[in-house]
Amino acid sequence: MNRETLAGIFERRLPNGTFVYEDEKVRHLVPALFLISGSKLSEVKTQEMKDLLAEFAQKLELPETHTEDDFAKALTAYYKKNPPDQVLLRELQQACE
Amino acid sequence: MNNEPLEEQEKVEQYESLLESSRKEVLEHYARVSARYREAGKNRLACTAWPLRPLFLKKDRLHTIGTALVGQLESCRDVLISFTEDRGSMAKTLNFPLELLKELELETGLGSPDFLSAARPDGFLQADRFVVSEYNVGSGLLATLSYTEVLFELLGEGPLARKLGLKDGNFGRPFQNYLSLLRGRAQSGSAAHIALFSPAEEHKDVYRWEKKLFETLFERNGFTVEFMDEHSLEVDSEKRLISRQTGRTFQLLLQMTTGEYFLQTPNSLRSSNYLRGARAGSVPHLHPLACLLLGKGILPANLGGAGEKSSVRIAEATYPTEEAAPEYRLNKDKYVIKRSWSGKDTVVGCSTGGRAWNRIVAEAINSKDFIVQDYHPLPTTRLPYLVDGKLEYIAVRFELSPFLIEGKYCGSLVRYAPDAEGLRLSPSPPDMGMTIVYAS
Repeated sequence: MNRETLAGIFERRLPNGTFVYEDEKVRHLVPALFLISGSKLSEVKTQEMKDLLAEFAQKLELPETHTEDDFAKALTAYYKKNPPDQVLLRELQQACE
Repeated sequence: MNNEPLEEQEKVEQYESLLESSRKEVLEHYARVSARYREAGKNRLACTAWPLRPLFLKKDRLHTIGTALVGQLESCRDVLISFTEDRGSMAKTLNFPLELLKELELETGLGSPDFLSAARPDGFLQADRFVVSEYNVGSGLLATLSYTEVLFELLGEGPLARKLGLKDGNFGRPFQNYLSLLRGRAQSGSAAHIALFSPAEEHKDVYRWEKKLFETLFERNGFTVEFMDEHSLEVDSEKRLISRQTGRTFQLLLQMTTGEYFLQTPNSLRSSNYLRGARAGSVPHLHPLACLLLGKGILPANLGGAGEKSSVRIAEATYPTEEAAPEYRLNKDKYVIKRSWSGKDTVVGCSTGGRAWNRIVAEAINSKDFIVQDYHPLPTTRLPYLVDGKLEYIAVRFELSPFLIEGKYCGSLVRYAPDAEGLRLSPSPPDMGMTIVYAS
């Protein structure tokens, strides 16, 4: 899925200007997209993304020096227990089809 | 938008051409000024580097703007006085803490000549108008006044000013005007012993950089100063204001608070009665605490202060409401959100992401300590920078801060930074510079 399509879904608003998908739902899903895309932690460029992933690493109780593999495994286990918002996920899946 | 240059181009060209040919002399002069201030920790001001030229603006225009600003501030005082009979309604309208309003002697504070004897509005110079973004009368005033004095030594007493025959008086010298005000109030003729007051909790913030600079500048001009807090001052039975540490009496009390401490702990004034009004015992209290009401939170209540044809106007401002939230969220590029009474948080819609903006809109509505103001891009000009020993001319955006002392325009500070959409200069970005204005 290209960046524009993703942004189009994440940034869609209600008539009152609030976002269709609240901040928390998007923040919860973004590391999953990172995982699926096969990106490397060491290749993350934006500070916002670095902060979000660091926040997740803390949530996953990973030690400060963890490998890419540790992160991927812990994240997969985390999403099994805490799945992303299903409506948002479905919309993303449909956009990919 | 009108793209006519705001500066006097002939003067700018003369100055810059001479700057090219006199670079060595200019840098030697800068080194001398730096050395003079090194002891006060001033190799440079609280910004990137020493500026290389003043802004050249039309004298008549600056004085017209100054007069209109004084009128506008007076109308602001009238708005505040009209509220004083009902402090409950005042607190509700302005979202100002009622507990603090109850502790202040508003009648004497607002009525005092020193409520508005020195002020520094900030704003945007446009081709036809000056748009006020906020007023400053508190802790920032003395800091910026002292900067203008250093900048005058740099630019007004520099080799280029001498060669071009620029007149001292046209730079304004606001710090010297301020000292004249202090001499008059202290009734001391020349020298006076001055208490610079800020609550103990604020000392680190208020004097972080400038304590030594204040001492240097005041003492050079024959004054002595002591940095006081609520524990070190008292008024004795003969109504003298005294330092508990040195036993010396003061002729003036200069209020330097950021307001934060009193906004958070208004009850603290019960043990410092002398801070409530326009005099501390028999001593004049400059910038009395009623000046806290000239924070950004007063702007929505004072929009009527200038007519359509006035040379100044206040940037449209409102107290945020849930009803207006969709407009702020959907048209964020049109707005700026600022703290009303405490802190310096300024969030510019056009340079803030949509989600972050929506969060600040929600906070502004819930906390009630914010205003929403129309966004005005800062005006642009072009200033010389020294980059790797070479002169380069860089497009900058600037904010103009005219000083109004005893009802008269007397010089301006200019803060600038390289051109960028959504740029704001308070709090200061890391690449901000400062200069002064030559009224030509």
